[in-house]
Amino acid sequence: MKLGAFEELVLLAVGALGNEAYGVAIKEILQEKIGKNPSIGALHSALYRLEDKGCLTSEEGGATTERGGRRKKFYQLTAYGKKLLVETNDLRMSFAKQIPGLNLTID
Amino acid sequence: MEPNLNPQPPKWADGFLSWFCSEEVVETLQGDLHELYQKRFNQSGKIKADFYFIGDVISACRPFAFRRRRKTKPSLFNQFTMIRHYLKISGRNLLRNKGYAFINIGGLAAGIAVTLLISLWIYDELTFNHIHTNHQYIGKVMRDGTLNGETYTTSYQPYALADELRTVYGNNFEHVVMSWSVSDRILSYDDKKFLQKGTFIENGAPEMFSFHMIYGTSDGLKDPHSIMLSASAAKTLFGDENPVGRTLNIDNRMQALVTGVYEDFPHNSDWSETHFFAAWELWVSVNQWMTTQGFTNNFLTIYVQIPPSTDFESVSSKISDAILNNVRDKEDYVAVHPQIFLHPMNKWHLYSDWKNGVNTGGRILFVWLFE
Repeated sequence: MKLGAFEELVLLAVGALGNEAYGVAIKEILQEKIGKNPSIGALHSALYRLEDKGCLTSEEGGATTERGGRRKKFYQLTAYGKKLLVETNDLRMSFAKQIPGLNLTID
Repeated sequence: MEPNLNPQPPKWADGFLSWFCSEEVVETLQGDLHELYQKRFNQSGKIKADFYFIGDVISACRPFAFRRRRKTKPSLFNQFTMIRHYLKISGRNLLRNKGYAFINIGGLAAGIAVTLLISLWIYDELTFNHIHTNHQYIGKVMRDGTLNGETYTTSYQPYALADELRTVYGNNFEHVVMSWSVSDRILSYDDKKFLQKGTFIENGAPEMFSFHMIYGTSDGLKDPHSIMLSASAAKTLFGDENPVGRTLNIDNRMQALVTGVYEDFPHNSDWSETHFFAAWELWVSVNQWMTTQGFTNNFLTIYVQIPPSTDFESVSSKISDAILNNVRDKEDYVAVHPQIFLHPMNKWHLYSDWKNGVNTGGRILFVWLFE
């Protein structure tokens, strides 16, 4: 398995956020989708790990006053990251088909 | 409630965070925590915000935060990255264009080599005769004369001039020494005979020209039957033994006792080719005719050393009529109008050309040409 469950969620969140994917925003969208508050440490840890794996690239933004002049780090999905997401989903779907009475569809 | 525009989380937790985080991580992580803190502060107040902040700090205690990844702060090593890159690129280009690289590097090397050689040569020329400690104060007596409206310059002097300089103008000089021109003589010892270049010179010379004695003292030409040999001449004639006290023959008609051996003068000295200096009196003894020639026959060279308190120009102006004053009764000599002056040792080598009584340079031309 190339992606952990949490890592997959983070990747999805970064992809969904487009150009606005930085720490707090990712944390908030995850909170919104899962309904559970991910720890900021776990989130950052996953982001760095995904960057090391080549699923994400990062870029530093401008300084902001609300952060005491600290810069945001914006993340972006790479082609490899997208490919991994597709593969993970394919795997899930192929397994799901073998489960009788389970009907997974994407609309 | 007035929203506090700049709420601050507990300092200790914040400090702890920036302490354990690596420099790369700290800015974004701390930024996120502060942003969250501010939001919570505005929503739920300081106590809850503080509480969550501390929780966030603890949750951030993970390997990713401690680990140093890419260094963002330029280290001492990192500052050479650009230079290293240049070196690498130029190295690759040189390897790719081997022919041009060879021409380029070879040309540069040849250029540098030639420049170095020229510099060494110029240095050698400009320090000519500097081996002689008194080189700034030594001069050669020169004579101008006029024939058919043209002035000639020569270093050959009459026998009587040396005594005249010593007696009448003596306080201008520390040494006045007569000398014969350097020429080949046969030096023989036992059955060994060698042709050596050498001269006959008065006793002041070894001190004046600062001979570096290996055997004997620089006072060695005091005795009329004495000779001083260069180290190489001594080796040729006597091998490695100390030749002082041996008697040798010069041209098979003069007997001379070896009184000293001096180190050969280096190539950039006017005495480098002179391998023996014999006593002047020895030469006079076989050439008695010289002493009767007065001021009208010119055949010897006179070297002088002036005291540091004076200079060549002023001494030259004082002695200019030294010959003329003694030949006033001879009309043809008065017409030639002999004028005496001193040519400094520092200029012997590079400024040896004279035209119409004026020094026109000499080898110095080539020194300037290359410089």
